[in-house]
This record gives sequence, structure tokens and C-alpha cells, in this order.
Amino acid sequence: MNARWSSRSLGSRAQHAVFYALIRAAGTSGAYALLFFVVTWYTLRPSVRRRSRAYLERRFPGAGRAAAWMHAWKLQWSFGQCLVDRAAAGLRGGFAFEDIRGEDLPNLLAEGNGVILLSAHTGCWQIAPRVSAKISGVPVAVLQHSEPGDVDRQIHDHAGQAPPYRILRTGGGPETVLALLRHLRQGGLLCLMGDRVEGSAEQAVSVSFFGAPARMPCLAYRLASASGAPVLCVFALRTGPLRGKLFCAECLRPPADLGRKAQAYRAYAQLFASALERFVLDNPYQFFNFYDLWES
Amino acid sequence: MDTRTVLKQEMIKELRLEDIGPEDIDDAAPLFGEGLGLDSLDAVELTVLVQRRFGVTIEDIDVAREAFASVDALAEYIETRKGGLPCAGPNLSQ
Repeated sequence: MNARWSSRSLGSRAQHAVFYALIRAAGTSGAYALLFFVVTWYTLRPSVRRRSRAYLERRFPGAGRAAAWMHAWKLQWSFGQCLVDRAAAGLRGGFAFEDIRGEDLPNLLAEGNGVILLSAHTGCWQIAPRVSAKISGVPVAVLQHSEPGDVDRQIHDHAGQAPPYRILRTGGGPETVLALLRHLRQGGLLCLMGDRVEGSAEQAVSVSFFGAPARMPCLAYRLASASGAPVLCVFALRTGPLRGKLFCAECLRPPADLGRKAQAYRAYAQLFASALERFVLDNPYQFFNFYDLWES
Repeated sequence: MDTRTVLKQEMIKELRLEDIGPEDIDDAAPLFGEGLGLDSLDAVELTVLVQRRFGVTIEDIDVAREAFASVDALAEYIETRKGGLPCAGPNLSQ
């Protein structure tokens, strides 16, 4: 478990409910208006700014105090907009993915070994599995992390519907890992996150990310090595109110029999980290890891 | 050679368990966590090993929970499916 990060929201259940009521009554514009003040309030709090400092200092080295504050505000603002959009997509519908660059996906699925869609906490990432389920035409499974007391809600929760994909929880032990492997062997699409360690430390490797060592998980590459499934690295980008894009960055193919040592998968984790870094350089306010993910 | 011994030898070789011999593995001890100390991701290699070496698939999650309890449990599962006879080589019919 990653002790430096929690899935629990900053806001309480009641505060979330205010946003949901606003979205129902006035759409996203009403919620964005309230969000402006909420984000400003949170950014004034040093404890909140501290959460994104490790990332922003690496992305914007040498930024002065005022600029650093502004970067933190923009990051929180962008994150808040993504959360509002997600709630609105469930409560009112209408989220549009434009220019989906998923042309590789049908060919990869046709190979019959399943496909691992490896993503990161960027842009409207929580909507990506939903889009994947729609465009892939095969069963989709998502490995999700949640903690007791987590008030966060997914689109299907807001819409009062069953999720369009199977949800497996992190921390489920060998049975969960086998369920993931089985899903791939049945030709399914498996959505994993490649930028946050949510298992044991032994299941992660050290990679270079923004010039410093950071630990990233190797679950995707181990599953790929065992199953023959290709790993398609995709990053979600919010392009405007209720709009987004999915970028296919890399397709990784770890060979069979790389074994159980995490270090054997480091090269693949590094390729993913480098692709993510390129994406984040272009979209600095759409990288949502609010903790110090570097080893320092 | 009995299934337990073959299984332990294969686990040491395929999972690349260092500084350990078949005699060091307690047949009744848990494979994951306390006991042999495998982590959850090792279930991937263990499944591939059992399929390749014994021609036995482990896909049902409830069955896996029981089969992965210990060397004893896994050997019993294999013997039930295959009569305890390890394959001569990789099973290419999967």
C-alpha cells in the first residue's frame, strides 16, 4: 500500500452533495462557479499546496512564490473541473470524447490475447474505461482502488446504473491477479493505472521521471509477459467542458518468461514513464498525483 | 518422483526462489504472505508454471483460493486433474 497517498476526497459527503445539487439545477456552469471559490480556498491552505509541491517543483523548476501558488491553483482548478465533469456526465449525460485515437485497439484485440490499457491519473482518466467499453466491443475489466470512508462516486454511481465494465479491487491477493489474467486470456480489455504503486513495494520498480527516481508499478508488464497481451499506453486529456480525448502513446510487448523479479520489467516501466512525462510536459495541469511520488 | 517434489522443484526454478531447496518448503505452509512468502503477483507465474508443467489450468477464482493455500493443496488439485503425472515438457495445446 502506498502510505503517502489516500483515495479519500478532501471534501466531505455533504460538500460533494452541494456540487451534485448545483449540477442538477444549473448544469456544469453553476458548479464551475462554486468550484472557483472552493479551489481558491483550498489553494490558500499550505497543507493542500504541499500535496502537489513535489510534482510542480519538478515541472516548473525555479518558479517564484507567486508563480508556484498560481501553478498549484491551476492544477487544483483543472482537477476540480474533471470531477465536476464526471459527476455531470453521470447526472445529466453528454460527455463527448472527440477524435478518439484508438485505431490500434481493434488490431490488438484481434490478436486474441486480450489488451492491457495502461493509463495514468491524467485529465478525465475516470471516464476512459467507459469510453473503452464503448469502442472496444469486448468485455472490459478495471482494477480500482478505494478506501473505507471514500465518498468519491463514479459516473455509473451518479447515473444509478450498473458499471459498463467489471470492477476488481486492488489488494485482493492472488485471486484478484488470477482474475486479471483470466480476463486477458478470454480476450478482454483490462484497464490498469501505471503511475501509482498500490500494491506491495516489491511489485514496483524505480524509473526516471522528470529527472529523478520514482517508483512505478510493474503489474501490467508481468501480466503481459504471462499472457501475451500487448500493453497500450493511453492518456486521457480534458479538452473542455464535458469533452475529452484519449491519446495512444506507446504499445509495449514484454516477452514471455521474464520471471517474477520486478527489475526484469524496469525497461517497460521506463518507456511508460517517459511517455507520461512527454504528455505531462504538454499538459502540465492535467497530472493528478497529489503526493510525492519520487523516492527522495 | 511425486507431485509435491516436482512442484517444489519447479517453483524454485521458475519462480527463481533463491537460497532455498525443496526440503526447505513446508508442504502445509501458506504459499502467499507468511510461509513461502510469495506475493500476489507470483500467482501469475505459478499459474503459468502449473499449466505448462502439468497441463492443468487454474482459472476459477474460488478454486484458485483453495489450490493456492499450500503445496499440499496445489499438489492435490493437480493430482485430481491429471492423476499426478507431470507433463514431459511444455503443454502447447493451451
